[in-house]
Amino acid sequence: MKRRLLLAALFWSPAAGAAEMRPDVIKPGQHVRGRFTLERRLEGFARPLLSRGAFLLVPGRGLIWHSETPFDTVLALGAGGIVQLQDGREAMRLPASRAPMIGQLYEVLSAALAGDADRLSLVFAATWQSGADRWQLGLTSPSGKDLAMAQIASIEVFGGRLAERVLVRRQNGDSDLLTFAEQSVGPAAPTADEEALLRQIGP
Amino acid sequence: MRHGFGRAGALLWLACLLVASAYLGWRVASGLDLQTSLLGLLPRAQQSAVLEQARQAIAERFSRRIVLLLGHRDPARAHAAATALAEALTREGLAGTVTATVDRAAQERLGAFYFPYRAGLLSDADRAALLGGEGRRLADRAMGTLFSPAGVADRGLLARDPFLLMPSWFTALRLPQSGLVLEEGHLVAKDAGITWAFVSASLSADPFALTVQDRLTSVLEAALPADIAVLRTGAVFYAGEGARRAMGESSAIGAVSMLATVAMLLGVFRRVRPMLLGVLAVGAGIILAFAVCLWWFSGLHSIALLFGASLIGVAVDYALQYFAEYFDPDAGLPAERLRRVLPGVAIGLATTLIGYLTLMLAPVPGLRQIALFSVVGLAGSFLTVVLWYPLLDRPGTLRHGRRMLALADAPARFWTGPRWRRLRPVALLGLLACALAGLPRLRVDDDVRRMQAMSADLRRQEAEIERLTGAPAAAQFLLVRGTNAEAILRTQERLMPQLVRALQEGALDGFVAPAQFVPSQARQAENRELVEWELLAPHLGRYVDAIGFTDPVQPAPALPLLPAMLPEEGALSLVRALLLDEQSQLVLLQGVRDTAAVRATLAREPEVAVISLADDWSALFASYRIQAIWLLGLSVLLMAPLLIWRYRRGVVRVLAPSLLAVLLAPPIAALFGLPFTFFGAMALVLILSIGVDYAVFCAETAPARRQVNMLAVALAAGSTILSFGMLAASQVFAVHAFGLTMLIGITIAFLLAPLARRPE
Repeated sequence: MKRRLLLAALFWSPAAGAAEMRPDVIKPGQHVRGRFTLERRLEGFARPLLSRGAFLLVPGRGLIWHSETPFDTVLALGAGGIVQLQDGREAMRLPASRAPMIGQLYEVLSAALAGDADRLSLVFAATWQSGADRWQLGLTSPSGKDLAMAQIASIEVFGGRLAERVLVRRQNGDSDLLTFAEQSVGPAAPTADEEALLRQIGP
Repeated sequence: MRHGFGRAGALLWLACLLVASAYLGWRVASGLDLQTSLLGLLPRAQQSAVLEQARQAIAERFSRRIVLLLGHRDPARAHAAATALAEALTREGLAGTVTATVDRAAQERLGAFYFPYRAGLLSDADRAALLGGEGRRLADRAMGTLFSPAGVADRGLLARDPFLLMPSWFTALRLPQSGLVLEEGHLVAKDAGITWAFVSASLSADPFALTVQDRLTSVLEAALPADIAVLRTGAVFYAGEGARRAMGESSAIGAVSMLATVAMLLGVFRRVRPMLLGVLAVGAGIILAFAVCLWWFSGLHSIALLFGASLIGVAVDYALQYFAEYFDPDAGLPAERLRRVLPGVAIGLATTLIGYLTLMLAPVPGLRQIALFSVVGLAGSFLTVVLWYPLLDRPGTLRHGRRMLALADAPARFWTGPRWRRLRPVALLGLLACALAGLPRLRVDDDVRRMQAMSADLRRQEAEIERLTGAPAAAQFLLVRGTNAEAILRTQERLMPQLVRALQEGALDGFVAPAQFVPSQARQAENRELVEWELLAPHLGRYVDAIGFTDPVQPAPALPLLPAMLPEEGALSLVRALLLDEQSQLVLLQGVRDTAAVRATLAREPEVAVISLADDWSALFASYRIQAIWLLGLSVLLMAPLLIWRYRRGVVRVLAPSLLAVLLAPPIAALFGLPFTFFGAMALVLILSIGVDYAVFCAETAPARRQVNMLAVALAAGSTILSFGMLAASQVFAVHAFGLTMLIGITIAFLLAPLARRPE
């Protein structure tokens, strides 16, 4: 893993020396693991809903979102749909055909986590700003054809080599701030439990 | 004086035919629409009125559905094709509702419809959790959703539905097409690198009408690029395929039979006139029959037309009796020829009309069409022979017929000549032996699915669509009855756990019941109580505090949801179509693998009946096959008085050949692997009346004219076999069964006919 990152760093160094900093794009066959904090601000609530946990993204297959606090919930999200586990029991399951938003949400979240700016700008009008080792992607006004995304007002993604923060603002004034840490990229090797979940929500 | 009367009659007959031709021309010009559904030939009054109504509703509501999958390696091309096709179907006014894309607005409309009634709606799992005292789990789930990145709850929803029970209800709503996923607003199935875009539509017109089938075909051809792969299913495609085949065969068989008949007549008489007069007699009969049937039934079934077109073989028999007199040197004048054959032709016609008229007694619309077509056509041909031939024909005698006369007389010599005395019993026993050999193979088959010769290619496409979409196209239904909608919904709620069990045991793939979409009032009230006492009362305070929600939670109104409120458009249109009336609703069963198991599951439910159209129609075919046999017996009884009056004890001789043909044809056909069906039974009715004709012609003939008469009978049998017997070549099983039975029966009837001669 270290060698890989080193290689990536060597590869990127000359380009990074120039004005443009581009994030690594996680390719199919790789995965990203890391920790997250989700701070959700909803109108009508006294305080933000704050949750923390670990995530796993396997591009092309799905995203597993394991909240550890304030309580244990596992959410698996993919092109095929969504599954929610509560105390290890299935609490909710929804195929993407039943809820158009699920597939779209997965697209946006996984593209942001995987650093795939090109895919994001298919859905949103994108503005790109980058410094020597930081970049910022601003996404606004969904490009009309995807009504499912219409309730999102804007998405901002900040990052270095990988995405570090995602701020989603909704039309109704609600917002989600996702912060990622301790990310690692490697060849996809989900655990047996994760594999079972990915199979349920895959395309 | 007599001559004058004949001229007036001929003119009157000409006037009749002109009127018939004009009417026929007008009907064809104003767009003749032939019916093509085999089931359209069958009666509607057999079973109870309620079941019948349900069946009709199913036919109307569900036979109009079409489903297409449009495939391409490039998803965008598949999407574009689906959009283009949906637009074309709507633009052409062919389809009432088309589903090609799923927009958020549709989902929102569904949500908006149910939301006001949320207090009484609980998914099965949530209801079970509350009944089991697990309200805490539902509260935790709501919290989990609120904290998840996929959570979309806002203050408005939380205030009205704090535990997010509505999203849960929606999640559990089982709409069909579970194998499809959403892509760019299209429902698609992905398979082996190909994206299949889903298009379903409800036709706005009768799928069994040829014009609808043609228009749909041309719209599909125009709207879909050549590189798009297409899978299709729907009654309209099966019917269209069947109609194309029936029409194609009808014209092909009709043309071949016409050409062969013409060749036979030219070869025998070496004159054009008999042929022209023969065509005139047959043509006049067909024009009259077609016009009268269109007027009487206001429409005509393509199969009735197919059989009707074949009638040429029978109608020409009377003309042949007349023409054979050309070979008799004593019958030089047309009037004399007619006088000689008239008794035989008249009695033959009378018995044949009796045979066909008994078909009119069958309470089967298609048979009545065929019967009327035959009766009118034969009468028309008979009148043409009697009224026109003496005026149109010329005197004279043909002298080239010696060898043909001898050849045609061969069966007669065999039965009456001294030379074959020893062989006669051997031949009869041989015939009986054939029949006995076939007897063990003779089996009865009434399965409508085999009779309607469904296209194998369409079946393959249907199976592909089922596999890709997960929505089985072939459906059976349960009819649930009750005193009112509430009682029916309660019955369904009692039934559903049993259906779920059958589903888990693999007896069926799925079901759609109205009660899944509208719980009974009792169930809704119970749900409201459950939410109140198991969820809101014990958990709301803690939950609201835990998440920090500060808006006041508004209690959901206790509004009852009723079945009649279901929207007719959109995702619930299918469910709406299941509601027949206040006293009856349907439950749709998908992919039933074990009808017997499903029937057994429901045996103790008096308000529930399984409707399997194919099974029911098969049962009807069985009952009509039996009826046809009774009709056969009845027509023998009806002919008997006439034949006894004419032949006294000779009636046995006259009836024996055709009765033997009727009895021996089915077991001999079984030797060729043909099961005995309703259509075989119908052939027997015709074999009887045509066979009696041949026997009557033989019995009516004075010894001096016997060779000439036998030639006429041989030509008649030849033309009947050329027309009816040719139907044995049909791909349509029903037509094939009819044709093969005719071929065998008519051959036997002809070979045995000389037995009817009066002993010298």
